[in-house]
Amino acid sequence: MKNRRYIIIIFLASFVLLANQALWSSCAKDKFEDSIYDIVDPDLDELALWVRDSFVVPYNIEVLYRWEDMETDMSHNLVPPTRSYVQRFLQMVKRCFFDTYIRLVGKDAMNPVFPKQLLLLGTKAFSSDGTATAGTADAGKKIELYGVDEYYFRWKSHDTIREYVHVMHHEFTHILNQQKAYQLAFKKITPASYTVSWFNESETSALNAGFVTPYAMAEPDEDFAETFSTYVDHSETEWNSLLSRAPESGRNLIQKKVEIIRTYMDESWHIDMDALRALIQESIQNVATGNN
Amino acid sequence: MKKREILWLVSLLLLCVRCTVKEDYIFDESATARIKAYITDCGAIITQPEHGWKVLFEPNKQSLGGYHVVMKFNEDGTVRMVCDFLAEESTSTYSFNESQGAVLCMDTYSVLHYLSDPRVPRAGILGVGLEGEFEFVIKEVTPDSLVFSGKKWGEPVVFYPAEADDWTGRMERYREHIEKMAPQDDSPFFRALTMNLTAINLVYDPPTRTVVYTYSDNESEQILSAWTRVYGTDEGIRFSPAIRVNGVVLDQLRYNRTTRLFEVGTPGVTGSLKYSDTPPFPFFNSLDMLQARSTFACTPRVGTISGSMTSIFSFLEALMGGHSIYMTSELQLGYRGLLLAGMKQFRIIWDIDGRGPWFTFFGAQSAFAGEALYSTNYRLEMEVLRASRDQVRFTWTGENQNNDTQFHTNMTSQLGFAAFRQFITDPAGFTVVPSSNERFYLVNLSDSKRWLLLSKE
Repeated sequence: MKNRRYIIIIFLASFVLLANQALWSSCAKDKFEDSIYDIVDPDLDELALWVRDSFVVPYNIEVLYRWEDMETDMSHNLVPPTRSYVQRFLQMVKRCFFDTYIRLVGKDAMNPVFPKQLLLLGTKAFSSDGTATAGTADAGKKIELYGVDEYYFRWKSHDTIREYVHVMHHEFTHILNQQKAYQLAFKKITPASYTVSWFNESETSALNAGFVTPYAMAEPDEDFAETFSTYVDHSETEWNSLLSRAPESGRNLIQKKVEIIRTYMDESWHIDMDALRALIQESIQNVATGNN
Repeated sequence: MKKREILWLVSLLLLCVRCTVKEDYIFDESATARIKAYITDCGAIITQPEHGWKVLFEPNKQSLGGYHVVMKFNEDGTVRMVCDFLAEESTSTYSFNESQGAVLCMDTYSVLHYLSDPRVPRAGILGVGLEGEFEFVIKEVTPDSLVFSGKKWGEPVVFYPAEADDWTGRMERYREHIEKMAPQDDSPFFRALTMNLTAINLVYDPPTRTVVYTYSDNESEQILSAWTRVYGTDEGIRFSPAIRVNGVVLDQLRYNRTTRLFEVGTPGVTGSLKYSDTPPFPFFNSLDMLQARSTFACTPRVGTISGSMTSIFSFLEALMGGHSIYMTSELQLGYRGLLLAGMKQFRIIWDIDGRGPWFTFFGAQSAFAGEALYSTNYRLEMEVLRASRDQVRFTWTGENQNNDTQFHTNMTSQLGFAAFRQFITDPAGFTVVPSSNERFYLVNLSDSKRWLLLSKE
């Protein structure tokens, strides 16, 4: 009985204590200072407004064309793009990349899978082995595009546009693969031919071994992205011409890869590769002739 | 436990409770607020000077000269620049960030970025450019100077308030004088700088703004070479460190618009810098210096690059894994032919053994020398032309060693190969010009504009 009384007393004491704390703490005034974050709307210049209206609003994509070192690859010597070259480059990106998927599959389907950030760099990323990186994809959300300034001086060239279009579709393929994996069977088509020294390979040796480019020999993910982007950035005639340069064994291997990619793109993303190719070819032609 | 003890306990607990914890701040504001305020102050100071700021960039004092830039920061976030290495003026943007303390960043391409641009060709180094900076960690900002350290390479950089003349007259003079130092395509090879009774041979490298000078040293009775940095000045150019030859010290040249010559501007020293087809002095025993480095493997640099070669040059440079190639127009076709034949690398290697020099034409389907696949060695007879042992003539012996007959056949059918053979066996012969322990020129005796640079790898 005595114990019970103690328990009640302790309970009451605790209650008083907590109530006391709550009462006292609520009477202190919190002093709110200015936010430590910059919450002032920035003044947007003409280019920034165009980027906002062309990429941020329709696709919810941030375009970084002003240097932010934390966003770049520190292992290379890189520079930001020339400001006056940015818009022409982005017009090509919009026309030959974003618009092709939107026209084919629709905005609602593509917006969630589009990269959320585009980082533009003035030059390619040169490595000591003589290779130059033209694009990278990070974490399924970000695509880095190199060589914006070089594009400016060659934008009328069909091959130049295709070079950049290839990079974008290649990197986007990585993003798609990062969200939905492709069939393992793809990796088993040419498992023994992947090599870290792919840059020592020629187009001929790549085709002989069943790859569309030497870079495709780097690893299966690159092979998948290279095969897809090469297929869609080549016209049907150009693609057939490429295949005709491969021996039958190499050609068969490439065609097996294409079929797996075709199924993956169709079943996972409702992307018809041939229809996409037609739209890309049309866009490249329009950009090359200045018909933006 | 008594009721009284319980009440004491509860009272004690109540006394121990405090409403809020009082913290003593060392600073009045948070770190973020303070750095924001600091950046605001910096922004106000850098936009203040009417004519902006001038700076002499010295990216790497071990291998590069100096580059002048003037810049005017505007309140709208734009920055206007002129420099002495590009003729155009640029307007780009700048911003501040907080990645290593407060950092000033020129965040879109400007003339300043040219120094950081990995596309700027620099012999033997690919993808580094001229080690420039466009992000600057702020060390001290006052109305009299802005003290930074470069964020990438860490070199100190100081900006000073500019004057109106820094934008036009002075900068144009800097640029003009630096440009006058650069050899033209039709310039003879030799460039003799006379200093009282002494003559030295000077080779200027425009991208790096450096000079290698070769002279006959009175004390050691040897041919020596030394290196110095070059800076554009109001009157001409400045050398740092000063050129020191046989007791004469020279640290600047003045450009004379009437004579169109650089003239020695150091008190007590007279002389000028002139091009010449003939060597300014005998390069005594330079052949022996070259031969002392037996098995001297070299990358060929023949002649100068013509304007039309720019695109193929960058393409080749990328393929060559960092080794720059300079070639005369007659070699272009050969290089192209080999590349089309699947070669990713093509070199000519100078190799001296007991029987005389060999030129190895080396082809590889790899980008690396260690993975050479094909080579063909051709032996040359070498005839010394004068007692000073600095002039030679080569004769093609026809003797060869090859590891692949098909490569040998392909090679000999190339126009470039024929051109090279004709070049190296020119009956006029060559002067062997040491440029450093690692580099030797073979300069054609009848036309000094045709030369071959042997540089040790």
